[in-house]
Amino acid sequence: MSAAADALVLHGLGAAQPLRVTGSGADAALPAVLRAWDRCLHPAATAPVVELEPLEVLLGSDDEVAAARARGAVAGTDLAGLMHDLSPAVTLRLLEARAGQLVLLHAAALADPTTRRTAVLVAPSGTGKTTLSRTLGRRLGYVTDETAGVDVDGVLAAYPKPLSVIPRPGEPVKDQVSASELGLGVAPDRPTLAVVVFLERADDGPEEPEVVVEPTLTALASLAGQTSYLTRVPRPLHRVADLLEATGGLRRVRYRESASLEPLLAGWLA
Amino acid sequence: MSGARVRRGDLLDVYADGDACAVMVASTVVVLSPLATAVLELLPAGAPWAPVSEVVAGLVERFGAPGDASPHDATLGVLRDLAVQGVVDLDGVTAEPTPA
Repeated sequence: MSAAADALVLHGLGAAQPLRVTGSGADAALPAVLRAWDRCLHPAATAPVVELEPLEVLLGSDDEVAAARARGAVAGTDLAGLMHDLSPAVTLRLLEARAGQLVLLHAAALADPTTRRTAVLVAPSGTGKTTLSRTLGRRLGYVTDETAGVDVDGVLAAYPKPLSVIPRPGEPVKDQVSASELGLGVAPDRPTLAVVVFLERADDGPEEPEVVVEPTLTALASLAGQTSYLTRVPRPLHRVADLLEATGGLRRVRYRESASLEPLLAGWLA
Repeated sequence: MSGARVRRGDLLDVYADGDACAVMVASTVVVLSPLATAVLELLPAGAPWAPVSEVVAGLVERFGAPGDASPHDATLGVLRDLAVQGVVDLDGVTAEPTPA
């Protein structure tokens, strides 16, 4: 166990999650974590930080894994599986740390690096947030592909976690790949909410994206199912409604290919 | 049915927009029609149980009597729907309308 391992801290959503990488496979696990999570190794310049209890991450034998899991560690016998399990474990801890403080939307978020204007792209799990981030994030700053945390002033707390990429069709365990490795842009400091989009991707969707601004009341119902810990936010409906009203309302976008959204985002974020 | 009473449910938040509103019940958001919103306005937060007859009178005053049903039955229908979603608590009323 090296000193560097003890110093490893992941930052996201304005919280800091220290990791202790342990086990007989620590020498392999540590560089993999550092590489995949490279965008989360430094805190955002101005975000407040909530410090979490350290999380043990163990790569090792069956016996080591069983003992580690019993003490609450994220543990695995193979590196890919461990990295796959680490991502939701860290996300859950960060979400719990900021519950009630941020509006936490299941969304990708991409920011214009110059204007800092940020699009929050809400979509249920498995409906294209990561693909969208990979496609559009080459020209924009990658804020997250998982959870957009928005404070009361409309500023996002970035969570540029690794992206889950299927290495080969049919492969059950996704690779955790750094945004840097995928060539995605770096999120600006204080990315600021400019537009909230509800994504509806379909194979038979329109070639040209169709945009409808949803009335605030139904927008609240649409978004509520795509949030975490919204009930802990004081006056939650007012908080979300304020964000929507400040950004021109929820845009519901039907589309087929993620690349077709690029001109739309360019217009919204300019 | 004379003992039927109603009160506002445990709502986390109410967001009004014009004559309609959205309410948060547990982690679910329910969008209410103007009629259902009026019911909620007749049942202030923290107020004790109110006789259903008071809600009937309040709705008739605001919207007039329904043309195709008794005001009481129409109001009970609305209250039952709202109770199923947790927007109101209903007491002393059968869960389903009594068959004719």
